[in-house]
Amino acid sequence: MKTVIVVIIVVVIGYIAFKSLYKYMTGKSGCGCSKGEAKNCSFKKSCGK
Amino acid sequence: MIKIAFAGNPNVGKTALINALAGSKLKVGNWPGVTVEKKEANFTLNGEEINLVDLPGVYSLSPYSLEEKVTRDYIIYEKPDVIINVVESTNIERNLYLTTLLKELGRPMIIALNFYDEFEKLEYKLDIKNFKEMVGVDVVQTSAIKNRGLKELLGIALETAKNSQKDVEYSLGFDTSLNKDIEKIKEDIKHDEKYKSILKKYNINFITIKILERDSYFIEKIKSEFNLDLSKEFESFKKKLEEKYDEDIETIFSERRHGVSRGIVQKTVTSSLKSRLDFTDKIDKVLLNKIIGLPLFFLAMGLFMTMVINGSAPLNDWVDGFINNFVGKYVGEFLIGTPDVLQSLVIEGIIGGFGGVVVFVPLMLFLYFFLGLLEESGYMTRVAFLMDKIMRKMGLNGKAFVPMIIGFGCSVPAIYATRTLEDHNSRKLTAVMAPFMSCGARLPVYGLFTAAFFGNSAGFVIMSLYFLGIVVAMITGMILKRFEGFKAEEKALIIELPPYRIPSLKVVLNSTLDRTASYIKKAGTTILAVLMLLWALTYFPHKGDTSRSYMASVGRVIAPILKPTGFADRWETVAAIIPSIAAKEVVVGFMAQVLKVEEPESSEEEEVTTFLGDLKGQGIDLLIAVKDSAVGVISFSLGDIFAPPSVEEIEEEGTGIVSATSSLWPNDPLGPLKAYSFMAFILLVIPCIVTLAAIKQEFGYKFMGFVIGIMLVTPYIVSTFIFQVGRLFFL
Repeated sequence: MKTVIVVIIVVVIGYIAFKSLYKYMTGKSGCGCSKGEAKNCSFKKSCGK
Repeated sequence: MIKIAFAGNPNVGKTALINALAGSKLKVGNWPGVTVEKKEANFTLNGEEINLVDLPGVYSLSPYSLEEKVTRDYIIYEKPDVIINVVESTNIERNLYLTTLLKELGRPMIIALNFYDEFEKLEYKLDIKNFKEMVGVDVVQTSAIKNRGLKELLGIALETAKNSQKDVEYSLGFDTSLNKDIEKIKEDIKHDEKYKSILKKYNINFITIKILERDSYFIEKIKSEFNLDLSKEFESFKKKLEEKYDEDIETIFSERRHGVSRGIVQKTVTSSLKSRLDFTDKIDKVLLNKIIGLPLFFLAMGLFMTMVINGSAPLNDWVDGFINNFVGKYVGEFLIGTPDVLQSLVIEGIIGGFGGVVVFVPLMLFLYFFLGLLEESGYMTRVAFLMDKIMRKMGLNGKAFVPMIIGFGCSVPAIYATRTLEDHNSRKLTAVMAPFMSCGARLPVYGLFTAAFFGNSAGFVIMSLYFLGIVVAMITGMILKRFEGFKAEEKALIIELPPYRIPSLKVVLNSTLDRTASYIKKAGTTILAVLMLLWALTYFPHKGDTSRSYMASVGRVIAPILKPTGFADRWETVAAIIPSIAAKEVVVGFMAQVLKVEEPESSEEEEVTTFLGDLKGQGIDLLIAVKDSAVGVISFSLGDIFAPPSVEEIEEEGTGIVSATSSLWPNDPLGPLKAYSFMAFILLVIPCIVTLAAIKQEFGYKFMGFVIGIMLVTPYIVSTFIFQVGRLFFL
């Protein structure tokens, strides 16, 4: 049971971290490419691609 | 949605006004050019969405510089509902020149007379009623710092936005004769069929003046959009005006605009004998002195670094202890019974890696706080002035040093800040030099290695690395300027030196907390992901035997190439270079993952403690660390100027990452030299991936590849030089 809980926590942390890494590597971090936020994005040309 | 655009001269407080109105945290600073591209902040008021747009500060709206184009294009093509023209109250005449240009664009506009508190302090007087009448728009006296006039400003802006959706044909206030001439052309344009569609897009005043001025950018636009050549339009009229005023047409309009501004100020402003520059002039006599100006700058940087290191060391140490002795201990206890691989991932991969980066949060807090004080004071621009003579050796002028100063914080805005330079070659040369500046992300690496290998000299060593970055950037510039693609146009330094201001604690604290929060967020997301990957590459294939891991193999393959640099005798340092390209902070987390502290063998039984007992102990340690930190900032003598707490002191309380790092080269007399060579390599090697993206965006893939090449060769040469020359002193 303990192992399952730890695995779930690690998966959640990993998901958030890797999602952020993906955004960072594709130039979408720090500004947000979601609706409305993309306007603030220095790399907005790459948003949605 | 209501769009409100903020336009004005550089450094008049546009961003500060937006932050005060929207509660946003856009970057502010007391130097011209903080905003080089438009930024936005949104908020909702009474159910209405409001979009505040921060336009780059400009003196004019000519098509010759990038930020002027950004400002002009935004107003013309995005058609904000209202423009708030921010005018510096203590310098109205110069600011009003832009006001006359903005009126030509014809969008509804109001004026915010900002820094009005300083205006009153100087005992200046303004006939506000007359002033409003003469400028022809609503005027509000404001102070972003003191929260003065903000509600009124927003109220009038919203009212103006709602009431007038169309363009306004302002009276431009030129002399009667010129006005008459312009009115004649305007009438012709209004009744000419070919202008019908152009008039839907551009204001009549703007069309008239730009045609007469032969504004190349406007004429090209009309040609491409409407297939209409206006380059010879009203030629005889233009010539007639030039003959009449005995000046070229651009000068005629420019002089009239200055005349309008001067006239308004003469009739409405009464100045006192006090000058806004009295205080500034007195300080500048010392700080900009030809002989002592630069030494004073380096002394200031030395003091700055000493305070950052001394103040943060006890707190870094506390965080280190908290993560290892408290979080690590209790998480470890909880994980007993789970598979080894999971325990290693959580303890070494996640807590070790993330903890290794978070240990330096206090260091970043102190750095950003002192950097914020410098930025707000107005001293930063003076450094550009002081560096002018040196920058000329690269064919640049002091203005090119501004992006490099920004690079001390972060290389990404430094790349964008090159937009303030006039010619493309200057921009390119500065963009190659700026990433050599030691950005904030590199500081945790220095913090770790200096604490592990340099003890009392840590502050001095860190300052020398900052200096090394500047010197390498200068040498690179001197070499590159010989090539055609980097030959910059010789230009005199024209830079506005802002008045010195006592930094607003609120602004400095906001910027400090904002930047530190970004550091923590980055550590917990992007960097953590890289560290989790690195954990996998150091755990497998031999179940946690890092010395036989994939990462170790990669490190050992590259090590022979890097042998001359000295630090390559440890695979850990070599392997850390590759992920440092993702983000420099990764180096620190990676070291925390792969280097283990040798636990001293203890014959005595371990003391049994409780969770609450440990928590209380951590609380007490924190209080002691805060006290030591306060003492560290204020207590240094000139004889002991670079004296952070010694390694022994740090290790008395801390157990983790610093001790582990010092085990890289234990009892090796060349250890500190190898550590210095490694830090120099990390300083000069390819910048982080976001900086590369910014370079690609501004200059293209080819140029980005060129920068990568330069930043692979340079650290190799410099680190080899440092180690090979340095070791001669140990033989």
